[in-house]
Formats: sequence, structure tokens, C-alpha cells
Amino acid sequence: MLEVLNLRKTYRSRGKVVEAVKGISFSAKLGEVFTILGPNGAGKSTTIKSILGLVLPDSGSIHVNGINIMKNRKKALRYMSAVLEGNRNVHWKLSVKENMIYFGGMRGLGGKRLRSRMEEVANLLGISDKMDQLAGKLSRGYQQRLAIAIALLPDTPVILLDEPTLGLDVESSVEIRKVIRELAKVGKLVLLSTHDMKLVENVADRVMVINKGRVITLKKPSELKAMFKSRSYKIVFDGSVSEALREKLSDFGKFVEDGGEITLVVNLKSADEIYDLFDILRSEKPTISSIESEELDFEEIFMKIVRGDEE
Amino acid sequence: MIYLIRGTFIRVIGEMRRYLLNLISSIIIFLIIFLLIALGFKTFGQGQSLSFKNTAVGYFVWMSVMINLTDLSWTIMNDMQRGIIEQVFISPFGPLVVYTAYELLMLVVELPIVYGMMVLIFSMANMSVHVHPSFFYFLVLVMLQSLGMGYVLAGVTLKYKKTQALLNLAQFALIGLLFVSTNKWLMTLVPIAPHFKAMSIASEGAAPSWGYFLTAAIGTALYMIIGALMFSLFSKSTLKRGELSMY
Repeated sequence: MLEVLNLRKTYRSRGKVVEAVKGISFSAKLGEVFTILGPNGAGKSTTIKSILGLVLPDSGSIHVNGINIMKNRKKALRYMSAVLEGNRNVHWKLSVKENMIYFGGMRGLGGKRLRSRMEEVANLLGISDKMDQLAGKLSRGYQQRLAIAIALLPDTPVILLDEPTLGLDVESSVEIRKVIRELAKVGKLVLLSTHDMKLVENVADRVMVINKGRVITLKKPSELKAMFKSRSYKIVFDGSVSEALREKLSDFGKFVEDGGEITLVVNLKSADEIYDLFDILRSEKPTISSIESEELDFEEIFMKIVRGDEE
Repeated sequence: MIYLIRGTFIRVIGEMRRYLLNLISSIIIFLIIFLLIALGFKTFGQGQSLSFKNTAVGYFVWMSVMINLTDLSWTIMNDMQRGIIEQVFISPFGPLVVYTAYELLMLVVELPIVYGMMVLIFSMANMSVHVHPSFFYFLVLVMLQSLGMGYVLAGVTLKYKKTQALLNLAQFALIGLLFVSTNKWLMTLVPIAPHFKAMSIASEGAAPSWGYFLTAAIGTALYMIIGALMFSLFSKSTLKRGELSMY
């Protein structure tokens, strides 16, 4: 459904040249929640805005349902809708209902079709009792729900959400997670950009981590977890550890001393390094009380990926 | 397209209701300036060739043109601040069509209010407003032409963002256009001037010559096309720089 190939974008401003995106490629299919993760300035927004034609890339191609967005933008836009920059996508001086009619009209929706879509999305997002309230008077959570409701009105197969849970309370975040999963279930492609690791863990089918404009990894969340699980261990030593051994093991992780217990928190750069680690342990024969595989949450995995890339 | 117009109409009416105080203040300022002109005319206008009626009608048209010229830029500035400009740009209709619908509907809603006020004042002063029917032809054309020029300013606003001072400057520049040489060929190319000359004749109840009809129509089409092209060029440049929402 969505194919991005070798996307490149360089910004030039007052003599400064910033390569925001350096050859990003990926494809995503219907029924999938595809997440783009990356630190600030990684190129997430440029990628999303390029897909929508809001930023013109220098080179590469973007196809939505086989239509090249650079060559036939208006036609390609019929297959996509988006919520960008948190809750700033609604007209604060219009009511919820007026917002839906205005933005729906902008997408060519009206009459019975618009009315039935308004009812459907208002029920899905839990805003049907707020239809006559001014958007500016709603809480941030409800404004975001309204922004998503507006994006859902045209019933496009592709929905792009840029930081959909930014600044939301726990309840609203949970609601939005449910809606995202619901959308994927009914066959939509949801392309997310977020910093919210809980959201990634709960809704993403695939995660693309980007840094400095390049793709570092593109995997399923379970694969990323498994990959890092096989690289993260805790080795608890029984008794003291010689300085010589500490020196030899320092490349594999950090020593942590808690009371009398000495623990090596191992972070392997690749799964193969475990053999080198065991070779050292076998030759030095320290007393080990336990070796445990470490459970990592998604935030730690993300940090490891980005740090690993920067090193 | 009909749904775009309907949705935009809802926005126009909604904004008008919620910014009611601003609308009332604008009308009051509009009327105060008019009353000051009337006072000035009464005090200093004796023996002048221009009639008061002619001046009054000209003032109302002039104010409408000025509002029309800069309104699109103000709307774009507000939409950039609100963060809804991206939604306009991802509409399959495109920003030019979406904003043209908005501006035309603003005119449809605002002009009757303004001209209703004019008729009311004239009737209070026991003056009748009998203009030649062609007046409305030139009025529509001058509004469209000022919208065409407004596209250029809107394009500049898209690219350079804070253009409040430029918009004020543009209003003064417009005054200058009315003092351009009366050379027929030159006047054809200058915006606003031929329309104003024709409306001045029509407001006295006479029919302008056919040359005016043609000149005004060509001038309007020309500036609409130039405006639309410039707006598209500035839009493209803004998208290339990735600065659409960076107000």
C-alpha cells in the first residue's frame, strides 16, 4: 500500500546544510500499525510530511496504492489522511460538529455520507456527547480525539499519526491505543511516529528506528525484544572479583556493587559476543552464583539501538 | 465541490459568531471613517467637481477592496498559528481552491452587511443610491481582481510568515495605483484603476463605455491568473524548504 524508496531530503537555510533524511526505504501494508521511532531530529517528521507531500523530497519515490505522490499528489492524497503535531489540527473557535463539517467538506464529504461517518467516528472516539462544544474548550485529550476523528472521516486506507499521544493523560492514551488497534483490525494502514514507548509496545506491528536520517533497524517489536534479550544478561558473582578479571570483562558491560553482591550487567553488541564472554569466564573461573537473561522494556531497547548507532 | 463550499460556509459563519465583537468593531470603525469623510466634505468640499455621493460610494468600494486584498494573508497567518494549514494542504482540492472558496464566501456574507449599512446611511441622509446596473459588474470584477492580488500577498505570507507590516504597506501601495496616468493602455495593465473609473461613472447613474467593460474583464482575468501562479510558486517553494507550519 505504501512504498518509500531511497528518500532523501536536505534543508538549506542561511548557508547551513542539514541532511534530514539520507536514503530511507520501507514499505507497509494494509492492516498494519507501522511505527517510526527516533530521537529528536532523526528525520521522522520529514519522512511523514514527505509522504503527505507537505515537504518536497530531493530524490527518491513515494507510492501510495501505486500512485506516485510526487507526480500525482492530489490523487494520492485521496488515499491518506493525517493528524500532525498533536492537538493543533482542529479549529478552536468552531464546535466539534462544525469542525467535522468543515474538514469533512475539505475532503469532499457531505450529505448523508458525512452524517453517518460523523456518527461512526464520534462513537469510536467517545466524543458523541461533545458535538456542540467548542473545540477550544475541550481538554487536550478530547481535542486529540477530535483531531483523530476528523482524520478518520474520509475513511482513507492510510492514516498517518504524528505523536498521537503527546501530552495526553493515561486514560486518553489508553483510549487512543485501542482506537489504533481497532483501525488496523478493520484493515487500515496506520503509520505512527511517536516517543511513547508504551504505545509502541502495545500497538506496533513493526518498528522502524531511525537516527540521523538513516534507518537503523526495522523489525517486529517481539523480534527487537528477543534480539536484545539475547544480548542482555546479569551475572552475579559469589565473592570478590579480581581487578584483572574486571579489566577483561569491562568491554562486555558494567559492574554494579550492591552490598556484598557484585553483578556484571552485560550488554553485548552482537549475540556472538557471548562466546567470547564465556571463554574469559572459563579461563578465569570466578565463582558465579547466577546468570540471568535481563528483561528489557522498550525504552531501554530504543536507547540501546540509538546509542549503538551513535557509537 | 458543493460540500467544500458548505463546510467553508459553516466555518465563515462560525468564526463570525464567535468573533462578533471584532465584526461589530470593524463596522463601527468603517462608519466613523465614513462620517469623518462626510464632515470633511461638508466643511471643505464646496465647489469641488466630485459629488459627495460619488465619494461615498467610492469609499465603500475602496474599503471592501482593501479588506479583500489582505484577508487571505491574515487567514493563512491564523491557520499557520492554529496548525490547520497542513489539513488545507492535504485536501485533494488543494490550498488555492480551499482558500478561494473561503474568501468568496466571506465576501458573500460580509458585502451585504457593508452595503446594507451604506444604503441605511444614505437613506438617513435623504440621499438615494441610484447606480447604473453595470456598477455591480465592475464591483464583482474589482473584488475578484483584488483577490487575485491577494493571492500574491498570501503566497509571500506562506513563505515569509510574519508579513503584517507588508500587508499594511500593500494598502498604501494600492492608493498609489489610483493616481496612475490616465493613458488608456497603461491603465489597462494597472489593477483597480479602470474598475474604479468605471464605477465612478456608474455611481452617477451613467453607463461606462464598452472599453471599460473589456478592460476590467481582461485586467481581472490577468491578475487572477498571475495571483494563482504566484501563490502556487510560493507554495512550492515553502514545501521545498519544509516550512509550511513554521510560523
